[in-house]
Amino acid sequence: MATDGPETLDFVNIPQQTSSSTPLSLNPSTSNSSIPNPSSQTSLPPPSIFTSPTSTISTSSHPSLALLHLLSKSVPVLLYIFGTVFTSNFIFLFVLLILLLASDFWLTKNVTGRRLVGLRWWSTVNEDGSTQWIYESSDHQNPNKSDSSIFWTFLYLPFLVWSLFLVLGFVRLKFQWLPICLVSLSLSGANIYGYYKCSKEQKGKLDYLVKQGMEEGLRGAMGSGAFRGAVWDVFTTGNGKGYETVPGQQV
Amino acid sequence: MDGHMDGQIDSVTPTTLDEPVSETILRDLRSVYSKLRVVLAPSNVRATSYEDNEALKLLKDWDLWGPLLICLILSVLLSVDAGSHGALVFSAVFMLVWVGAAIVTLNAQLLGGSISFFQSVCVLGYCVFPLVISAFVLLLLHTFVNSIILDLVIVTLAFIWSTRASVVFIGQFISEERKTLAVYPVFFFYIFLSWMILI
Repeated sequence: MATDGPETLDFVNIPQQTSSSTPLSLNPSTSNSSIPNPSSQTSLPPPSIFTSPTSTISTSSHPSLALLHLLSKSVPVLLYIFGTVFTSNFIFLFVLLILLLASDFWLTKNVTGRRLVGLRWWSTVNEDGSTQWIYESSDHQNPNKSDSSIFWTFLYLPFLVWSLFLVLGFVRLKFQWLPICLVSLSLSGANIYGYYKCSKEQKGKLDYLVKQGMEEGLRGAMGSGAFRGAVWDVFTTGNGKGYETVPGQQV
Repeated sequence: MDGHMDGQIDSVTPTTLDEPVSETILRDLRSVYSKLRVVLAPSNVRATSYEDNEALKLLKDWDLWGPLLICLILSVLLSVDAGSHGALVFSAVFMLVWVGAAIVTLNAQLLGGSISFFQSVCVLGYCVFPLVISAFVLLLLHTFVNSIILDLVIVTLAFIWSTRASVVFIGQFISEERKTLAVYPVFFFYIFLSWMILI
């Protein structure tokens, strides 16, 4: 492939609205400044906790609960990463982490879910021993937008973070930390599954995000000739000889 | 993580949520304590009078806090004595208790038992408590005397106690012919734990 300038070397070409030198930063005064605006005006994503943390928390209807939700998920993560700096007693850390994770699970399941998004899930045991799971959602149709964004962000995010820790633990052969990751994954996974089943609205939002992401990615990728060439290559002979027949591609 | 909930479906003004946190914690602690007492005195379960069936009812209200605490205590006790391998022993015992309980439960379920997964894990977890007591006793004993015979006796006693307690509970849910099949894994599970305590 001949070097034809920057266009063919860019894999994805997203039109830049601001100058390329501004880094992606948390800017509390203007919300949504770092999220590319979806072209449709019908429903913007709610103010994200990452772009405007202080305003998000202050517009929540239960600010202390929202903060508690956030903290109870971040503290175990921080302790996991930095705990060995403070104490060399592994067992103490382990026990502390397990207790923190368990209390966080209890908090999310019983307190913050009910208060922040009006959802609830639990299980009962029937006479014949089978377990029946019950999913409940409140009748209020307009949950506070900051509340739900904080709640859902910090429901999914820890799961991803702990999966990363699990993988890292395997790779670095630190097997004694793995039970903690497994416990955390199963507890947060249980909460995610329960609340996911409760919330149809959340399903719709996820679909929207996935579609947005795909559209954004495809739109950007389609602008690049190299990507088009590669895709064409896949659909033709696949042995590299497909390059010559790609329209608009300068080889 | 409780198996019992209030019947009220009103999720916005829940009855138990407005109680202060200390009350909630106390309620859970009391539930754990009463279950432990039931486990430690399993002979009541065979009687059919109403008060003794309370014990069975109590175990229908499963909760996982008890097994978690018991498992943590056991792991701590065993790793204190383990010296340089303490951390590894701790994690190993912790995983062993939970994975072992899960496997035994699966086995009981596959044999057609009518017990729910969490109930069975709960029962198995609580029945480890006598073994925890024996581990604690051994720890105290080793400061005075290092007799292997004494260790064996104590652990065997605790093992019989644990196994009998859990068999009595799980046996309620499994048909007679399959009972021995279901009991074997429980037996091995507790043997393995006893062996770890002895070592």
